[in-house]
Amino acid sequence: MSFYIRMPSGRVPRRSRISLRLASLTVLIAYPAGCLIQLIFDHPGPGVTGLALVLLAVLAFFWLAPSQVQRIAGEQVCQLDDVERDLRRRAYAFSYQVLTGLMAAGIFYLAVANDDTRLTLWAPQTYAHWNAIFWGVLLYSFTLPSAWLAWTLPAPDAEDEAEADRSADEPAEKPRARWWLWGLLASGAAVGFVLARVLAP
Amino acid sequence: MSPTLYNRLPVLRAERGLSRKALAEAIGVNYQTVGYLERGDYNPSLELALKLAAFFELPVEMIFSLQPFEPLSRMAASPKGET
Repeated sequence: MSFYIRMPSGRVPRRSRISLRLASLTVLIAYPAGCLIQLIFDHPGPGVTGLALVLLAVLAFFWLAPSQVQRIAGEQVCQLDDVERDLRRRAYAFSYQVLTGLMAAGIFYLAVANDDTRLTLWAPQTYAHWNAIFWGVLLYSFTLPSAWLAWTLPAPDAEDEAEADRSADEPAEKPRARWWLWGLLASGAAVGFVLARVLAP
Repeated sequence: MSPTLYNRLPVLRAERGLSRKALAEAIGVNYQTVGYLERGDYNPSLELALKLAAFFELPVEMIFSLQPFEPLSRMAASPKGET
């Protein structure tokens, strides 16, 4: 599962390989680190540090979201060419392996934490805990394919760089509004609202 | 691991005085994809290889090969009939 944020100008902003690698690492490390710090330390000082790390991860993700690697991971398939589709397939295969590994480890840990009374292992209990886990899984599923691409795509050569410089001066084709997507989101929100009203005690 | 596929794309492109972007637009791919193909970072699909062959009006095996292509200087130096 992934998505791509198109810029209003229709251009794909140029990001260096190093910055893409740093941003993807920041998302993957800062978010769980921030959540763990908030969980372990009850004092306001470390709590603010944890919150700052989570915020940093979110900012890094939004910096990554309109990049060329996220375009390969999240753009509509019909907008990608042959090689890009192949790269996406490989990136998704890698993400699937990592996510299923993490899920299996997490479920095994939860099973032990809930079953073995001799060990006092932490297990998520409150809404805040599950909320943090939910957003973490979502962030990982969005970022893992782009992280794989950022770390494995070969560096562009001088001719590619020159071509990118020339393309930057040319007018870009502006993206069309995807009304069906906005309609789907709006109707989903309306259905969710109605269900919440009906199901609330 | 897919085998290395050698190609003559840079030579053919230079022969026709095309930029990567012009070739990319002609065959409907991103200009970076042409760079990846030229450097041998990625192998083209059959569809893309056929599109390139049609664009250059050459058989596919003249553009892509599993064996390294003989340099043109050596081909030119060899007697007629021996390639």
